[in-house]
Order: sequence, then C-alpha cells, then structure tokens
Amino acid sequence: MITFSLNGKEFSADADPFMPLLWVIRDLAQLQGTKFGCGQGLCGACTVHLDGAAIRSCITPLNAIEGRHITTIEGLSSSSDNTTPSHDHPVQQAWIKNNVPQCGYCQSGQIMSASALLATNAAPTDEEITRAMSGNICRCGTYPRIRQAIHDAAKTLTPNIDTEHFQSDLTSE
Amino acid sequence: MSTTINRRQFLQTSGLTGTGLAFSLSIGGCANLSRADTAHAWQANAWLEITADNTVSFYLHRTEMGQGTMTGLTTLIAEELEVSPEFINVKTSSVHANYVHPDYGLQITGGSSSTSSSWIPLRTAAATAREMIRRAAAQRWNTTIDNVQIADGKAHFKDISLPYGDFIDIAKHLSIPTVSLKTPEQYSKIGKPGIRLDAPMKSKGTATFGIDAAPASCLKATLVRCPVIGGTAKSWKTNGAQDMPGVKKIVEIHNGIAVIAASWWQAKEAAKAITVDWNMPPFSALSDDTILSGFRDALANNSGKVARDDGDIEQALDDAEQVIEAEYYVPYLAHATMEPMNCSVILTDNYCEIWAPTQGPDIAAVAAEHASGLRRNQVTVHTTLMGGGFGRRLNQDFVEEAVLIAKHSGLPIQLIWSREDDIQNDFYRPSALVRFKAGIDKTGNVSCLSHKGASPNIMPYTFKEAAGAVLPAWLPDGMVKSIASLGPTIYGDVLLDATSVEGIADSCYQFDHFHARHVQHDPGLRVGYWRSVGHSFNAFFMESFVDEIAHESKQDPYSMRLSLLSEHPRMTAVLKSVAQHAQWDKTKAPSVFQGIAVHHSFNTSVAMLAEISIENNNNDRIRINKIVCAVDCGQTINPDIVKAQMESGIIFGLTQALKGKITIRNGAVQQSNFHDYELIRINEVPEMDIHIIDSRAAPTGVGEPAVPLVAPALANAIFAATGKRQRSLPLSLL
Repeated sequence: MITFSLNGKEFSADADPFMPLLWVIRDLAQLQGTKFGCGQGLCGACTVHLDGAAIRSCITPLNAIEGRHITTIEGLSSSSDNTTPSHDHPVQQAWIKNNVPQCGYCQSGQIMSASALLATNAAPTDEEITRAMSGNICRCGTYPRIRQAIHDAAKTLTPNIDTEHFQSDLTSE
Repeated sequence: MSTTINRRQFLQTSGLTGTGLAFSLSIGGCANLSRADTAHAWQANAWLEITADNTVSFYLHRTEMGQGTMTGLTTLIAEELEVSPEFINVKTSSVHANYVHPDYGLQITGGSSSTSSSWIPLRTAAATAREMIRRAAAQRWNTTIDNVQIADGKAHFKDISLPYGDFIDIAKHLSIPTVSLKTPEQYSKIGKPGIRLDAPMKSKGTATFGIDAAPASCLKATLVRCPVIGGTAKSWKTNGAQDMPGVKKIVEIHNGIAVIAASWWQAKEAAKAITVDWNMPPFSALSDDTILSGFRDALANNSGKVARDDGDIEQALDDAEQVIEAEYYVPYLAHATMEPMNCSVILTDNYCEIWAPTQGPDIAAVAAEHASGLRRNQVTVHTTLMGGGFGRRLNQDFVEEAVLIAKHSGLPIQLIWSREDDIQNDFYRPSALVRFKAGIDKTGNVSCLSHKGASPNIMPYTFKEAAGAVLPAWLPDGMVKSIASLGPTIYGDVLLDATSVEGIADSCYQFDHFHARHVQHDPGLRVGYWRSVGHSFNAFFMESFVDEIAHESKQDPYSMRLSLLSEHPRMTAVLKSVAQHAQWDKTKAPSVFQGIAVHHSFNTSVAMLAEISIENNNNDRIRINKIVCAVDCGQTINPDIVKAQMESGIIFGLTQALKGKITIRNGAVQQSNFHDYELIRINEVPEMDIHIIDSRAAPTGVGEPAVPLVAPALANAIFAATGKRQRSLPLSLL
C-alpha cells in the first residue's frame, strides 16, 4: 500500500510499486483528465505536478511518490490562489479565452506544464516558454495559441508586471 | 434564401422566391426519426429536439476531432434558431440513415466537408423548427403568424414573451413549412468571432475521449502483434503470463494474442512474457529499396490509367524547344493521433455495445456486426470525442479487434493500443513516385505538362471495410465479405482511384497540353486517408515542378503562376494576397529567401509563402522565419476556427515537410514512438501570418487545405536560397 496526496486528499494505492503513476491515476483513482500518449515520457500528455513541478506520470513509478503531493488537471483550480468564482485556474481561463484546444487530448498536459512554469516564473519570456513547453507535443498544432495563452495568464497572475514586451510575434492579427 | 425540410434530413429545394431559394425538409413521419416525440419532448427533425422545459438539443451528426465542427455546425443551427450557440445542448447523434454524408453514402466525418455539406440542411432544419414555433405561438395567441416575433430563444407577441418549450405541444402537430434562409447581411453569428464550445471542457480535463469512455465493468486489454502487419500466430506460449497480477484471460484473435487484466499496465506487463511464432504475410521481404525500385519498375512497365488528357501531349513535347524532366518521391507517413486507437465493448449473446473514437460510426457498426456475428440492429455504437483523427479513424480495425477480444474472452473489455502499436499498425499515407516532363516553346513559355505517377490506391482498403455499411443489412454476411474483397480488383485493374491523382488531374493550371496518368502499384503496406490525402503529396510534386519550370524558363515563379491561373479568380486572389503581405517583389536582405506555392483542394484555394534565411553563424543551416498563408474558403462560420485550422494545417505540414518518414525493413515499420517518428514541437514553429479572403460564397473545406502547401513553399524557398532542388520528403535544412 503506497499513500500520497492526490489533489489535496490522501490516496492509498494497493498496487505494484513500479506501476506508473499515470495508470494509478487513471485506472485506480478513476481520474481521467490525465492522458496516455506515448508511455515513454516523450509527448507530455500525462503531465501532472509532483510537489508543484511538472513531471511525466507515464514514467514515474508509484514508489517514487510515496508521501508526496500530486496535482492533476482535476485539482489544478484548487491549487491556485488566483481562482475566480468560475473555479478555473488563470491558465485554464487563458486557454478558453484564446480558443487554444483543438482535439484537446494533449491540453491537460500542456496546461499542467504551463501552470508549473508560471508558478516559478511569473512573467516568462518567449524563450522560457519554449524551453518549458518543448516536452509537450500537440499534433493539432495549437502552439501559437499556447504561447499567447501563457502570456495572457502571466498578466492575470501578476497584473503589475508589464508583459507586453514579452508578447509573442507568433500570432498574427 | 428559402427552404423546406422534411422531418428527415432530405432537403427539397422548392424554387426561387423573392429573396432566393425555398427549401423544405421532407419528413416521412416520425417512423423515420431515430427518436420519437414524447409528452415532454418534440423531435422537430433529425437534428433538433426541444423539450417542455426549453432545453434545445442539437444531435451533432459529424464527429469532433479538433477541426471545430461541433462549434461550426452548432453555429449554423443557432443562427436560424435565434439562440446563442452556448445555449444549445450538443449531443452526439446515433448511427442512422438520416445522418449519412450526401457525398459519400456513409456516416463519416472526412474530406473537410462537414460544414459545406451541412450548410443548407442544418440551417433549413433550424429555420423550420423556428417557423413551426412561430406558427404554434400564433395559434396559441390566436393571432397571425406575422404578429409573432422570434428572438433570443423566445416567441414574442405584444408584451408577452415565452420560451420555445411552451409551444412544443402545438408545434409537434403542425405541418412542415417551406422556409427562407437568412441572407448574409442578416447574419448575427455566422462569420463573427465566437468561442469554441468545446474549449472549456478540454481546458478542465472533463472532456470524454474514447479512452475515457469505458463503462466501469470493462477490463483492459492489450494485443501482442506480429512485427509485420497481417501476420498470424503459428504457435504461442504464455510463459506464466496468465498468473501475473491482475491478469484475467489470454485469448488469440486473428492478428495476435490479447491479454486482459484489471489495469492496462498489468496487461502490458503480462504481454511482455508471451512468446509467439508468427506466420509472416507475403510482403515480409519488403524494404525501402525494394519499394522504390518497385515504383520505378511500375512506371517503366505499365501504361497505367489516364487521369487527364488535354490537347496533344506527344506532339507538344516533340515541338518543344526545351523539355524539363524531374522525378519526385515521398515516403509513407503515419497519422500519429495523440489519442491512441481504442475501443470499449460490452458483448452478450444478442447485443453488442461499443464506445469508439471513430470518424465512421456506421463502418464501426459493420465491423462490430461482422466480428460479433450479430445482426446490424443488435449493435449500438457510441461515438466519442477524438484525440485527433486526420483520417486514421476512418479505418475500424481497432473496433474489429476489440469486439473479437470481447467475443473470445466472454468479458467486457477496453482495448487500448500502445503508441508503438499505433505507429507500426497504421493505414499509412501512401508512398509515391512521379515523373514530370514540361515543354518550353520558342517564346520561353511553358506549353505542356506531362505527369506519370505510381502509388498504391487507398480505395481497395476502404472498400473492404466500408462495403458492409453501404450494402443492405439483409445481405448475407458471406456475400458482403465477397463483395468487399473485390476492392483490389476493381481499383487495381478497372477504376482510377481519384485520390491518387487529386491535385494534379484536377489542377487549376491552364497548360495547352496537359496529360496525367497513374499506375496503381501496391508494395503491400496498407494505406489510408491522411489529412489532405493525395493532395499531401501531389501539391508537393506539382508546386515544386512548376517552380522548376519557372526557373528553367527564366520566369518569376509568382508571375508565371498568375498567368497560368488567369481563369481562376479564387486562386489568383490568394496568390496575390500572400505575395502582397510577404512583399514578394521587394528586395530582401541578402540572407533572406522566399518560396511560393498555391493549391486548390477540398474546394478551397490556399496560397502559402515560406520565408527562410541562411544562418551563416550556424553552419549555413536554414532557418524558417515565417509562413504567410492566404485562404479562400467561402463564407466563414467562425473565422477564428478557420484561422486555427490554417495554423494547424501549417504545423501538420511542417511535420510532413521536415520530419515525416516511415521506413520499412523486412516488412516491418521501423519507427515506434515519438523519438523516431518525430512531430513538430513548440520550439520549431515559425511566425505565421494568416489571411482569410472575405467571401459570401458557400463555405468550403478548412481542415485539410493548408497541409499540402507547406512542403512545396519550403522546398521552393530552399531552392531560391541554395540553388539545390530537393525532390523528396522530408526536406533537409542543412
């Protein structure tokens, strides 16, 4: 039995210690917002937070997270102090406002990577966004909007910082 | 515009009225609907249901896989129903004859055609429901129809306003009126920026994809497969797999050994222990070099089928002052949808229920029918959201596998493919080899173009799966299978497969002498529809070779295209748009170069320009600075989704142009996951400048038409920069 905090609640998994966290979350905890994409840590669809940092849950064994804090897309809004009455995290709000998702399958992972970035870097530059987001593949090609949404969310999170000069030139109009 | 609709989707255009066409939906009666009226709910037609508590439901008959069809088609309904798109409760339609695609005869989502084929029927359906509410209100308020206004989801008369739901009891007994559709100046939603209806659920992790749709009772299954597609197990050993944690059963199906366990990871772990001796399929000797030599032999030895024959090509080539020749080649490609193939099945002796992320729910139903041995009316298909489709989910092999596993195990299961399964068991974008010849006359103008291509046709593979969905359900199973097996013969020896030559045979270029022919040559690796299909390679071939002609005949590539497209105003407009926005005719910095391309596909014209620079400080590596794109897709429904689809198509096209390559050794696909089948990532995305031509014409495709342009625009820019013509994909930036 391995116990850890899942979205703020204690969760005990009676499973093989080497079972990847992704399948603990999906098959045992029945939280399906975290997606399976590659099983090798190559695409980022399975990204969750481990003590606030973005990790690939498909290659993280259960025994590596004992006693640690895991946050999934379902728990993201309550992990932020900046939630609005709609209970969406500012990154989620920016995603909706920018019509980021297309098929949407990778977006939980993209949002978890983006929110982990903003938690440590309130006003990332384009270069910093590129570095933080390069592990997350989007086959639909929503990258220009992901970049714009991260800049927008940064503005919401730190309204006093002028992020205009960081704005990407990747989106026209 | 005015239209009538009967309660089924069949549309009758009843003629011109003062403002335009009159339409009617002809309804054969409630018997033709998949849902029946109840005391609480009115089934206005195949798409719309309004309940007494004023819930307006739209039964979406095309599948959402990222292209935005959920938002777009709901907007068409909202426009004529006078409600906001967000107010409409979008449900997924069942498999039913009412929802068959008028162009394909199948209930499929593909060909960038959901909007264009729904443009008249859905607006007519909504306008008809609206007018029936108006008539019902007039009846209830004992006034004339003209005295009732419909706005904001309510009927208004004098100072009374009541929601639609208050009138359903009267409306359901009314006859179907002929209606007029709004003219463009009356649109309040069509063509206006709007939110994506699926953005909130996809940003909160609450959207249900196929992989999330399994009922709680389903166990998880994985399949041990032959390294070569089509191989079957000669013998196999479990080596203790059946005793591993969570494992419930191990069964053999036609193409492998299925392991069923409580969790998918347990099934995968147990599968590693199983050893199989395989019967290899005939093409297991296939390798990349034999594929290419096979295409070369096919071009040399077969005349193929004529796809286009304008003028007299032989004479024109004889008369030419100069003949330019070139050979182009593209590899096989995988779709690599982010959500791997999966399907959930509950199967009993007389009932089969499946949950599948599929672009063809009726073809999925046939696959389930054949695999289960049940009858069509005993199969229920639940279509889910899809983590990408790109054509891959038009094939239902994963449904067949899942139903067979459920049948042989007697267990409710969800089959989930691994990424390795996905990359190595695709229906691949065909590899193709073509040869061009062009003649330049004494005045330096291009007089003729000759094309001969060799590639495997896709239709035989489609025919095999889809035949059952278009043939009557009462035909015996054996007869359906034997008709389905005719595909290779019909499309190999008798018919030309239009998708193999699309983009060339139907090119807009006006050459006086224009000849195109196709040799069907199938090396054996199965093929399927891949976002933009034949255009994905034919635009690269054609637009690169046209560029060669321009350079060889010392013409400006942009001006020469304009003169060859003078009778195509939409192509001309998009070409001019990109040239203007990218300042084609202005002098560039010495290290900056541009390439241009234009193509017409899915009834949409797109022009694209790639601007690159040579990085002297980085071993002269080529950097892609910017992609400029102009599109004419007729009337936009949601312009931001059109823009998103251009961005999406450009990035998909960049992966094709710079990375995509499936290689074969001994019949097996050598790539397996994203480390060796790479996709474009955020660090590789250039600036994009997208322009949508303002148009009131009927809408045309947007999901695919940007994809084909990226490779030729880039290849042409690379030639401008280096003088080297790259005639195969992927391109090298070194």
